[in-house]
Amino acid sequence: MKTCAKTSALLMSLVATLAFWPAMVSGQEPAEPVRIDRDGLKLEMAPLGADPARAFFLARGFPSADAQHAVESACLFRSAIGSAHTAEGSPEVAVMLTEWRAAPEGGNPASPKVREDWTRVWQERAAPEDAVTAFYWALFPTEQTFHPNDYNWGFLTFGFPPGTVFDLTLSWRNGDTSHKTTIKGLQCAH
Amino acid sequence: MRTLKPHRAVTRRTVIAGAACGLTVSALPTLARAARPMLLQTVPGKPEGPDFTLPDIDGNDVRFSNLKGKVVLVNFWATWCPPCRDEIPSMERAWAQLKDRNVVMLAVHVGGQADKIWEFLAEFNVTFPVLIDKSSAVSKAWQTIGLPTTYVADPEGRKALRAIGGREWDNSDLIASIVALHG
Repeated sequence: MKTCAKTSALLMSLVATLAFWPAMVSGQEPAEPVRIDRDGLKLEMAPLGADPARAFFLARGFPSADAQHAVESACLFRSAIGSAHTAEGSPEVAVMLTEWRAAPEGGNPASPKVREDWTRVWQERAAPEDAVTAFYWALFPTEQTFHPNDYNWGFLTFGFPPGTVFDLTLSWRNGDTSHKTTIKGLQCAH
Repeated sequence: MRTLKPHRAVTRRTVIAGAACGLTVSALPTLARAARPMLLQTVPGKPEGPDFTLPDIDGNDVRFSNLKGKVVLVNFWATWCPPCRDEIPSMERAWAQLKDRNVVMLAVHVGGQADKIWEFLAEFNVTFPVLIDKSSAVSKAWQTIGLPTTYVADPEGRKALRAIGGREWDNSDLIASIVALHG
């Protein structure tokens, strides 16, 4: 129980970290995160506003035009995702973002925009290498397997215009068992 | 190729210490530091750690394979990664306990932006070696997927232990498991 409580508190504190992080640059109040804790998965995510998003891109070395492009097209959410398991021998928890589906109101479902998608975007825009490398590592990995107590953090991006409302169906595997849940009414920040 | 001297003072850090700036984690809840998980995972099969040569922040090359005979903690991180920033102070405290026990810590910064790295190191008074993986090729070769990720290599250079996500590195159990790799 003690270790379990530690892990739970860890993810909460990590999202607290993520919540403060870009907002500290811009002075904006962080948005309240969505939380999921079931079937081996712990997830927290919250939309990132335009100003802190722009500040992040500029601080990583993107030209202003590239930063603006990302702000207008990324639909960024900060996230912390990890295993809810704490005991050795517990099942591995696997997340594959390309299996997730984001369905905007009146639109077709699509998978999140992942690292590989953004690599193509930045290649086409001839963005600076250091900035591209930083953004690659700032994105939540496309695929990740978590052992007990493992977690990761990073941006999730959905490729919608600012303000878009969408439902997100996310899936994961807990050992040999597949799980799925839908978060309704997420909204990209304005 | 120089011989790594982990105890060496980094004078430039001292010079710019007063000018350090940027985001801090001081606004975080105390809970963030009190509630870390403590476990390291055994790496299945203990594969050999891919050799690399990377510059440290003074521009001196450090080669991983030159460190055989020592336990080597290789931490992949970035200044702009919140959990990386959060675990750095405990790494410095762990370094104080490990540096005289035939253990080397290498913090491999993923990406360039050397000026920001200098500011960060000064802010946190980091004294363990920091290397720069500008293209992130070494990070990927070590099968790092997200940041922070840490591998602990045994004296034969094999990846023996691994942590995905931050840890409280001066935890006594973690220190013991690292030192135990000496056998």
